[in-house]
Amino acid sequence: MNWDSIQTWAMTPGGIAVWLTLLFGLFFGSLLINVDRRIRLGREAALIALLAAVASASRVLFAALPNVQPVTLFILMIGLHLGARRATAVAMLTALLSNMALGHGPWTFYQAIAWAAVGTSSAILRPLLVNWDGTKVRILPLALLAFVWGFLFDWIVSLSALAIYQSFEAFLTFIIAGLIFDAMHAVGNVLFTIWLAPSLHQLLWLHRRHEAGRWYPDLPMDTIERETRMAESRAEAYRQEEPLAGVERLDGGE
Amino acid sequence: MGPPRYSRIPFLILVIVLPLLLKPEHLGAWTAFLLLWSGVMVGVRTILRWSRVWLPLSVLYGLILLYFSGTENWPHVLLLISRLIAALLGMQILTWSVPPSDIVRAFEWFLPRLGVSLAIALRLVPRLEESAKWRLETLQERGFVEGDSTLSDLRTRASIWPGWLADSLDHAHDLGDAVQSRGILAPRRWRHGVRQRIVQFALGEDIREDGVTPHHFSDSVQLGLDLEIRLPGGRSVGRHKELLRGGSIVLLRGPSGSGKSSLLRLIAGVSPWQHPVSIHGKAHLSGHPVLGEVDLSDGPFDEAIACWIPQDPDRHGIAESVQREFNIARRLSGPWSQQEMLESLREWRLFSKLESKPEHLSDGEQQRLLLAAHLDPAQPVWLLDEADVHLDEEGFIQLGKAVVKHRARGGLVVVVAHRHARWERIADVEMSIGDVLSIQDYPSTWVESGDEVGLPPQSVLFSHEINPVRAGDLILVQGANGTGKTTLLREWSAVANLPWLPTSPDQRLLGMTVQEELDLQHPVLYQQSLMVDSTRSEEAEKIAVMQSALRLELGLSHLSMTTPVHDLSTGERRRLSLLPLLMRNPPILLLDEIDHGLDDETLAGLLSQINETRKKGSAVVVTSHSPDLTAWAKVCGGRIWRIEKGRLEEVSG
Repeated sequence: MNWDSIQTWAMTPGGIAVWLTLLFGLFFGSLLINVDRRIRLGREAALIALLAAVASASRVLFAALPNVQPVTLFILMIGLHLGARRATAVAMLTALLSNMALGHGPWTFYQAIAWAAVGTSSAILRPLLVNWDGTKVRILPLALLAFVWGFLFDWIVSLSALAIYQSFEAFLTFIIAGLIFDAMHAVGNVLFTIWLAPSLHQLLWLHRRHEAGRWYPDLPMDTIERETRMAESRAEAYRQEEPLAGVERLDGGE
Repeated sequence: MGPPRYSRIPFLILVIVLPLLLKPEHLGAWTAFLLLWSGVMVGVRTILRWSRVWLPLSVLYGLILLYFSGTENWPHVLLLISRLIAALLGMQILTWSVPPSDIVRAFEWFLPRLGVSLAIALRLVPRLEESAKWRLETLQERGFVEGDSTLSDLRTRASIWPGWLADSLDHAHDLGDAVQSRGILAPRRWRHGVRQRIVQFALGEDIREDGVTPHHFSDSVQLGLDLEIRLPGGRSVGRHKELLRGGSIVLLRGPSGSGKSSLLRLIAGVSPWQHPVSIHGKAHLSGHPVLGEVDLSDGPFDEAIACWIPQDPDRHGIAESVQREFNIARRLSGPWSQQEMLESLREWRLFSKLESKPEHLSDGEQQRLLLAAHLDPAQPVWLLDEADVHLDEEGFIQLGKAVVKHRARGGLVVVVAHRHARWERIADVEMSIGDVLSIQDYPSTWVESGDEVGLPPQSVLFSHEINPVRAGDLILVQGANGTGKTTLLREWSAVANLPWLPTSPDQRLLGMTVQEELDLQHPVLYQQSLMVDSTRSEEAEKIAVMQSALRLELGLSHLSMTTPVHDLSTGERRRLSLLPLLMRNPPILLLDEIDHGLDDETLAGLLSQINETRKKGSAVVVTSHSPDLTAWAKVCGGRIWRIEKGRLEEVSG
């Protein structure tokens, strides 16, 4: 095997699928390792857990409707508020958790990658998706992005088919066969955006609000002043209790 | 029943590859074998649930393939779909056979902190389902779904979604704090090197992580505080200037919302901002077994700083089983250390619950589990936040023994308790926060019994021949943890369509903010809130006035309407959740552990409200472990019921 044969193989359908998978895997894997090292607070770990639990529970809840589930919207909102790294973590945990109920397979890996890409996109497009101070989410651009991801998500997951069948024709058949499901996913995403996005936005703001507290090394000035006044008045009271305090005795005794 | 632990990966390859290679007749046999195997493993019902998802999808996929490839190719498409289903079923068998804790453990090897997230998520999923059920139950209890059209019913159900999310966030924050305070996010310390671990793993031996062994603390344990806790508006909720020494039990007292729990969280090294509070000043701990001298403002810490047992046990247990909770808490894995767990479980009377799931335990049992697993003798400082509320007398004696033993070792124990009569006997120091409370007598009143209003149902947990409950009766239900006190109230409520108030107020709060909660307390108020026109109807006006009057009586009129419900103190949430019950004026009020999280003054106000309700003709049934409430019930001429050995009996005298 030489470099030319590797190059030739890399341009075949199977080769493209493999290097794309590797590229995505390495990129999002590095994000995962990074977020794992950055978690210092239990609350951060728990927030990621909560979002993954809510997302996977809702996916299982809507399992009866093919491809209609709010996970894509969840990940979009998480990317928007908490950034690409945490969205990647939630994406992976959601794929793992929900497939514990729905069944694991090669798609678990591709779903994790696709949702991580969803979160990354909303993190990058954040200026377009929220108002100037980040207090309100813009429903229209978000719904549009969610609609687009309804199709893109399923095509990324279909990469597994390209890797298995090693032919563009089979891959295209796979994509065309799934178009109805993709459309259902996209329309479902738009509906979920209208219904759930405002309350999710409020929830993530609530979380941020809890992080607003800080530890200052010094006591506040009014407390110090109050303490000083109290100490002075105590000392004053002590002096008043002992009228002879400070008077030097002539015989030198104590 | 699944494939053995070390053959899971070969099994996965087998179930994917084999269907692709087999001839059609052999494929049928293989699929039948897999069906039989999974049927024995998980039961027919689970298989039907699985096929309800995958079978229609496979059929639809097959139809689409037929459309594109032509109907003459149907044998190929059928074969392809059959192979797909066989592979899916094989993979599902693997999914069913791997316990979630194995997945968490495997995950922790690569990404330790996200592994903790996964463990928390597994714990949260059933809790989220429970929480949704409580909310729907509450809606039904408040009369929201009676006679509504389907669309309006759906809209009402959708309206509880933000409150459900906010409650889940609060629960997740609690779990996160518990994880951090126990040092579970810290990188693991292993006794052996990587090579030794690989050899042990290959041989299937247990690998034990290093822990800190319990030891006798010298008199070096000291906790120095010079700090002030402030709310965002600048209001101070506690100024602490203390030097607490090891070898003592400190009883911390103060009214609800005076910052006791915030102080304990701060000493535990978790986010001091349960609400967005700021901390000014310094706190210093000496005598920590790993870190030695600790400046608490340097946090957050990877290690556990103190042993913190917070309020509400169902919000702080991490694992999905009793055994796993112990494994996480004590970092146990070897057979010798398992012995330590079994002994501890026997001491706390939880031995029979070894295989139980924590959510199936009663509040008292969950509290005992939390204490048994997490009271870490290696930590010099123990912080007990209302740890005895759910405990029966026997449980409290066990806790008392552990606390006194820790004091004898030289440890420092800080206790927060509203019902402090139990603690005063063993506490060395008493500290008060906020306004010093005078010892409050609970208001008593004698109400003549009226007509019969009901009878408790017979339960699976106990039988009875109790006299009927009459209007104006006060009934106090006692019994050890797990005997069925809460079950009695729950079943009674379901059978007689009576509202009941569980111990945790969050089970009866629907809104995200105080305004949303007040609107969701009555269907008429909710309808009014949806209208664009703000003019109130006569009925809505009447109900709103009644609600305002009750808010005033319960001391809730000062609350801001935009405050998130979960920013309120436990006492305030409890009173808020009691409002809709009082508004309905039911014949029997069912209240579970009414004194939980309330200071004496607030409790006295609440008991006074209960007396008023009795005078209006309602009977009140209360469960409690508190000796103070028992005395109050006797003074009020109440009846005492006791559940013991499967019998519910009235205690005479």
